[in-house]
Amino acid sequence: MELNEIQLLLKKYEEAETSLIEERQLKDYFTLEEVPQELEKYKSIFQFAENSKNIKLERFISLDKRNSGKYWFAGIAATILILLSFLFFDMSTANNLKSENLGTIEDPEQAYLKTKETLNMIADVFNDGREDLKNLNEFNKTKNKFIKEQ
Amino acid sequence: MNHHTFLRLIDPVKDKMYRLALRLLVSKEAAEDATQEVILKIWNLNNKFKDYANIEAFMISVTKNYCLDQLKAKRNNDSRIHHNNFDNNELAIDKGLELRDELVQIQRIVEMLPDQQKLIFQLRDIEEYDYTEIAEITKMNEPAIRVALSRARKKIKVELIKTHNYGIK
Repeated sequence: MELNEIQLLLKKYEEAETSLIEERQLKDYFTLEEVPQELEKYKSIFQFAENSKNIKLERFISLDKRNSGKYWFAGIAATILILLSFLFFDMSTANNLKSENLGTIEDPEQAYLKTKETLNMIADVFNDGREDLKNLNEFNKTKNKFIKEQ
Repeated sequence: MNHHTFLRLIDPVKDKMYRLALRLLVSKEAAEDATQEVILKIWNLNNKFKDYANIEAFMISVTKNYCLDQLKAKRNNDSRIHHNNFDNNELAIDKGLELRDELVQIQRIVEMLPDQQKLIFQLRDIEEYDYTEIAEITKMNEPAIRVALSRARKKIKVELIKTHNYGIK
């Protein structure tokens, strides 16, 4: 190729106006032929581009080597398992309560008596508690002493 | 699509993805990781990428985005990217010591370019994509691509001359 032709192409190249074919011509010229002194610097630039293209990925690409996807599923599976176990546990205890302690009474008379008995029992317990509260009056007595003195 | 078809599909592109990752991330390790990561990402899309007209451009584009995200994360963490692979230079294949030095120098100059110029220089001057493909990958318009490319090319030349003069004086 003529020297002035090359220089023209180089100018276009720097303005990014060359086509791919023209750039190929430049690359071939600078990598294959003897280049005059003043264009020496371009030689290394085009050589750089050519050589860069030969770099290859050396690592073997595998699609299941990194099993981040599998761990993801394992995490979800574990979560579901834990949730399910809670659910089953809850359900089984609820069933126990129903069947063993909360047997329904069919006869209304008996139910009334049973309820009364239960309520009485609760009242008794409350009264027991109230008896202990009598002790609180001692506080009041002491307090009144002070207030009267003032 | 099974593993084998997929691997065959990415085979012609994976080196290009790696080279782009290497250009942007500099470190060989990081570039290999990035390539692996991006290929897995695309594989996990489960054939959805079939819709994309140009699969190669799509793959390169995903690589680009991934690498730029990595760089952003790294810069946010304020950790410096390690430039430690000057010596294991695959570029120099018995072309004489002087040229080898020059190639390493150009590598250094290219590393100093802004990411966008690096990217476009890589796509055009090394991978030889045409402007419509580069536009698809970078989502830039053609004039903007040309401007960035022209800047990159001029910058490389100017810097190279600078280092030459420094050596002489």
